[in-house]
Amino acid sequence: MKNKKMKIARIENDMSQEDLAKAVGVTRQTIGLIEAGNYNPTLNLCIAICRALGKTLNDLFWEEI
Amino acid sequence: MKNNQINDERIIAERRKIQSRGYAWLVTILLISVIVQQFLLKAPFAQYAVEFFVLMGCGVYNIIANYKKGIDIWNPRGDGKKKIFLNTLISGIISVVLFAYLSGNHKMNSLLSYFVGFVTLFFIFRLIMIGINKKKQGAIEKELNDEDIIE
Repeated sequence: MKNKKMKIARIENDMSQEDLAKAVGVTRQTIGLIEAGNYNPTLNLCIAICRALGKTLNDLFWEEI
Repeated sequence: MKNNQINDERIIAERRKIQSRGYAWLVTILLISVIVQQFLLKAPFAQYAVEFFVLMGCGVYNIIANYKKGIDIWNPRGDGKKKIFLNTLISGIISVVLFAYLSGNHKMNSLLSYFVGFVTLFFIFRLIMIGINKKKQGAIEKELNDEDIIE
């Protein structure tokens, strides 16, 4: 499932995929794959992304059913 | 029927680590086996050919698998051809010293031809691999840009 919340949060923070990748210490490809829903990040990476974007895990990675 | 069985991700991760470590050990032992047979036992090539080709196969598999997954292992980090050549030259010197020591061959002519052959081959190989990798990374970059714009 695509992670649009993460993408929106990234754009709100005026960050490119490259900027976010640098901020959390991964490649741009990894950020692209997470946003496209093709890669399951570890909890540590999720937390790093949340910190970089100023969001909580709930904001970015929780889907209401 | 829906499969509700939960796979223990810790066990899966640990198994992968164990297998990966086992693979690294296997490759190291194969390399030692080839070196011992070639230089210490002076065995004919036919005796260690299987190990040699399995070792080569492992290397080729690694290169292809990394390439297919788009993992950037051939990125010279902005280094120019000069730096790549210098690195190959240093590798060549180390390799020729090891070759001379292990084989006991101290003839200048054969060592020189070994050195020139090594440096030429690896320099060309590295340039080709960097070129192929650059193309792949460019395609990935384009795909990411397109996805970023479309959504």
